[in-house]
Amino acid sequence: MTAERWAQLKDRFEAVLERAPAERSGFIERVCSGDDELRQELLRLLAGHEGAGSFLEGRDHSNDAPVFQVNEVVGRRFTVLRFVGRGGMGEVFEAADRDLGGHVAIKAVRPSLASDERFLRRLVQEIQLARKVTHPNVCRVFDLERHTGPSGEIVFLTMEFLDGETLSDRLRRNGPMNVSQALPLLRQLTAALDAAHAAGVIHRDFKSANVVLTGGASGETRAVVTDFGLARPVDTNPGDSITGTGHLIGTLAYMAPEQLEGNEATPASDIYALGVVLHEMLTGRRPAESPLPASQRDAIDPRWMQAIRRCLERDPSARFLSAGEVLHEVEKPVRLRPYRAIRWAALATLVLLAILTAWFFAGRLRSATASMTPGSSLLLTDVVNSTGDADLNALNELMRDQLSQSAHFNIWNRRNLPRVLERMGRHQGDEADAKVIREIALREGVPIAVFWTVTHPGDGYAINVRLEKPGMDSGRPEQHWDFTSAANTKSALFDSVRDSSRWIRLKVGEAAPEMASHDRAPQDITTSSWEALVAYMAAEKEKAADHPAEAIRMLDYALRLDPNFALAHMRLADIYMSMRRQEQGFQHWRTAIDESNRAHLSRKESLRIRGLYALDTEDLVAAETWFAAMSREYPFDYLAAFYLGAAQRMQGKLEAAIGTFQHAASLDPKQYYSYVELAKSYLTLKNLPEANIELGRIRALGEQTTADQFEGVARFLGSDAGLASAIFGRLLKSADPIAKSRGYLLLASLAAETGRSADAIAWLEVGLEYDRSRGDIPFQADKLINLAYLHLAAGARGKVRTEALDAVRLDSSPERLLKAGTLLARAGFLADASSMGRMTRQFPGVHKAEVASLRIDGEILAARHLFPQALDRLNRAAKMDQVSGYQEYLANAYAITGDGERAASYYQRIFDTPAVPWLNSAAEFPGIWTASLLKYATLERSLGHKDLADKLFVIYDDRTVKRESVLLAPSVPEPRL
Amino acid sequence: MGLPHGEITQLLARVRTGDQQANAQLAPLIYDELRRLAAYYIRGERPDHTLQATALVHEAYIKLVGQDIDWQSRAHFFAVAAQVMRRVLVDYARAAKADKRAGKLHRIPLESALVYAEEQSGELIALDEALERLGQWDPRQSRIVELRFFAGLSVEETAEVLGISTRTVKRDWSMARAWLYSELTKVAGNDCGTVGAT
Repeated sequence: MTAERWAQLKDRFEAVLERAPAERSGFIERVCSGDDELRQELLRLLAGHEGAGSFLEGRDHSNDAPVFQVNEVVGRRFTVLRFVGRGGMGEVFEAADRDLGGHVAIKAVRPSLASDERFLRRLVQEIQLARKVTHPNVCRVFDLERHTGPSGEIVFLTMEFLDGETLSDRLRRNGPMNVSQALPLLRQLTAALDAAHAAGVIHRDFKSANVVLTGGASGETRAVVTDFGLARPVDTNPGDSITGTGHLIGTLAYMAPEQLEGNEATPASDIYALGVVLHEMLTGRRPAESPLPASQRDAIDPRWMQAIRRCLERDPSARFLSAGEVLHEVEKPVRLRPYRAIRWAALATLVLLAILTAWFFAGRLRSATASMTPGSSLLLTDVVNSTGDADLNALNELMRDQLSQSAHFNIWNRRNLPRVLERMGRHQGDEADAKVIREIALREGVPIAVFWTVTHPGDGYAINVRLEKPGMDSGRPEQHWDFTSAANTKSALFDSVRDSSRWIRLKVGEAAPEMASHDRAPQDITTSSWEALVAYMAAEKEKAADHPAEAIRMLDYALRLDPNFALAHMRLADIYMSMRRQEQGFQHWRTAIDESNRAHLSRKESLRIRGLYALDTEDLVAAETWFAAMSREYPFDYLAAFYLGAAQRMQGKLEAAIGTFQHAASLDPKQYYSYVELAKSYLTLKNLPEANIELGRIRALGEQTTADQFEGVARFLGSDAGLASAIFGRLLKSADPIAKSRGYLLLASLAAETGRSADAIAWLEVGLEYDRSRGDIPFQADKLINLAYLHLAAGARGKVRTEALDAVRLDSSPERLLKAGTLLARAGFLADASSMGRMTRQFPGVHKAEVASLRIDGEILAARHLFPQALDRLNRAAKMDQVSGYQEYLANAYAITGDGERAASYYQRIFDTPAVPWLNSAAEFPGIWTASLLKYATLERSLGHKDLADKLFVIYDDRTVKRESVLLAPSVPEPRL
Repeated sequence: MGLPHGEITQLLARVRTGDQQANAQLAPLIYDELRRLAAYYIRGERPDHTLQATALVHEAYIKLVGQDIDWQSRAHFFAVAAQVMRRVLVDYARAAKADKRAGKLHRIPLESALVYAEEQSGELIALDEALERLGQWDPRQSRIVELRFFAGLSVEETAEVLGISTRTVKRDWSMARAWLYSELTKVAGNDCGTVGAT
């Protein structure tokens, strides 16, 4: 058959069909005289046409006539009055009961279902169950009947006829309800569910479409729960049940996590569904559908939101014990529980998990190529080295660097491994054999896994690569592709790595030209010295084992072997920076950048380190440029997007930053950092509801202490210092020493911002002791500087000097020098301040150090009352400073010089952004917002703006009123909690 | 996280402007959704929700698009979804066949022609293969079958999606159906004079 032949056949066949049926075969005989083949084909088509019946189109019942006619008497008892509609199970009619009078609803079971024995048995059970529950808010079910009509036997169900519309239809028609409309309905729904639960019946499929609203006797709406069709008794032996255990029943959006996971439904599952319905009633949409606009969410009574949240708790035991408790919660006079972000993200993850599992068992797409959608991840396993030469384990680094040049795919992040293994019920130490890796790939949606070996046959070497597409069966791949590259010598293995990488990249669908532009040789992006490479790998191991000094030694050695080894410079820079030895850190960083100019680094790494250097030196405009370029070239790279957002947020471009972080989150939803940054952005914008959503996402990823830090901030911004204090207090109980140390810092800031500076000092001193006991240098420096600031405000000059100098001795980073220099100048220690200024000039080419130098000079000049010069320095600093933080130094300087109007305008900006010191505590002092508020208010009063000043003083008083609920600082250096 | 709402809508809008890349991104998204829904229903064993392709495609539409979009975009969605649905069903059919061979049987209650059925898995695979052949001679007929059978579109909707008259759809449909029927019902060894036997 050819297309031409088919077209000819089509032409003739259409002509055939235009004839009357009886004439068709005769017509064929006539037109095909001589062409026997055509005749045969047409006859066969005609036979097909006549025999096809409803072939391929038998599924649409919507236009079928209903099984019962109006006025037909069915079951010798019911007169059909009208056809109501068609449901999943069959057709519904309203009928009159001739024996007992009144109306009933008749549900005719679809013949195809009625002929299914198992289904009928289940239906009988449904009726038995539903009859156990007698309640005005539960639809009454009467009997299962049979009717023999002209088209055979029809099974039907009789039940209470409810004249009304479903809750779901009502919401669609009228939109969301307000609380006073919802409350009477909630009362009835909870009564219905509690009655069912008391009778041992779980609904299992509670949803707004299963609630009918009818007019009650006295005009009020009566809500009736229908369709206990999927319910079954609580205490049935799972083996006896018809549905069996482990089956997902119920409608997805209303289903509790445990149902989604295939576990037994309990009354708590119905409570969960009730939460979804409540959310729908108040907002018009289901929780998981799409985020609620903040304005709408804020309009809802917090008690209701709280009740909904509790219904939707992931853990069934955390939900209300009965439906009645939900009612109790919303009718409670005051809110007692802390406001908590809803964990929509957790829900989404769960749904996804259930789906993945289902998908895992159900099979998946098979296609003939290894081609991956752009942006997918590739799982690179460790090389199996059977050469006996441990040096060759360094091939792992070479291959990873080689493959990570691709803009087409990401390499699956190994940091996810513990999480995945845990979810799989395996231990971290377990050997990840091929079977486990395939399963990981399937679960993580990684389309291709790379397995590879290096062998040493005879004199030469060989790299053997196998690409696997995991399938349903983890015992073997669905498909695989092999590649081998031989090398005569050990150093020729560099070329083999490159060949293998190129083969992999092309195989997974990267276009050759695209690859060519990002394909530097392994020698160029790492080193050509095996020995240096081995030292580098050893350093990585030391670093991972938290032995930074050893790591530095190994890297120094690697650099002696190959001074152009840019990657080694970068690692050194990283390690020095993490040790807060910024001077060395920046130096190695710059060397790495210089080397990358000579092509000793991949394009991607080169962009990344330039961007990071700019970001860390606070040259934010440059950082934004580099990361924007990196995002363009590597559109699927999470870090490129994330850092671009960071550069935007730090500059105060919050709208842009939010968009960028959302994009980053879409690239890798499991990284909680994006949500942290989003939360910070929303907090800065004073958009607490959105911030709370992000905090929920952070919590859903298990980062409770991180979420606590920002939730405390959110509570403080929401004027609930007591709650903020309780939340920060939780950090002190954390097992994570960093979180604990931060807890002290945050409690001190909270105390300072609420006007309790003695408490603030006490918290810092206790925290300082804790840091000292752990030898944690950077955190000690933070606390010392903050103490110096509080002591300056308290007039304890001597302490200011000791603390500021101690802080700098521990950590002489530019930001620390700036704070110390500022405090020393303001306390009158001008020589010390000058030496801080000199130290900032030891960071040549470091943007933030240049800003710091100008600012310290300005503070010193102001202290000497050389106001024009001081203002000149400070204004120059402000112009250079790209970080959108407080410009308290300008406010302060203008206030000193007597330019009250200008000073006020700077203070006003501080007043408008209360979140700033909490989000960048390294740059701001504790209590700075409240202290600035007081100065602002005083200034406005002296400027004669009495109304504004009064208003500001009221706010100040409100903020600084001592509350009993606030966690008080311990008087002894042992936290009392 | 779930799919960002509006992503599909945006892609559909880009497709309208002739963006080929958007087209390529569309199918995997729809595929994922359909596969999820299908997997869910297959495990679900619900009496009132047998896996009905039409319902699935519409459910996917509501989940992925969930809002009013212009009819061209809507048509394009269904055009892609039909192809994808075909893949999903055939994949299941293959998997079911494999399970059967492996002795794993989990029967699923069925009601009408187009529900997922293990008993029908052979038929579905045969249909897929026949459709493949038909597509080589007459791509339009093959597309029409896809849209009508796998996405459950009416004659009118199919005409809209393909930008042809309903009359043409009806004519093509009649012939394609007649041929597919005879292909799928022919008894091995008794198919003298078959059309398209290779």
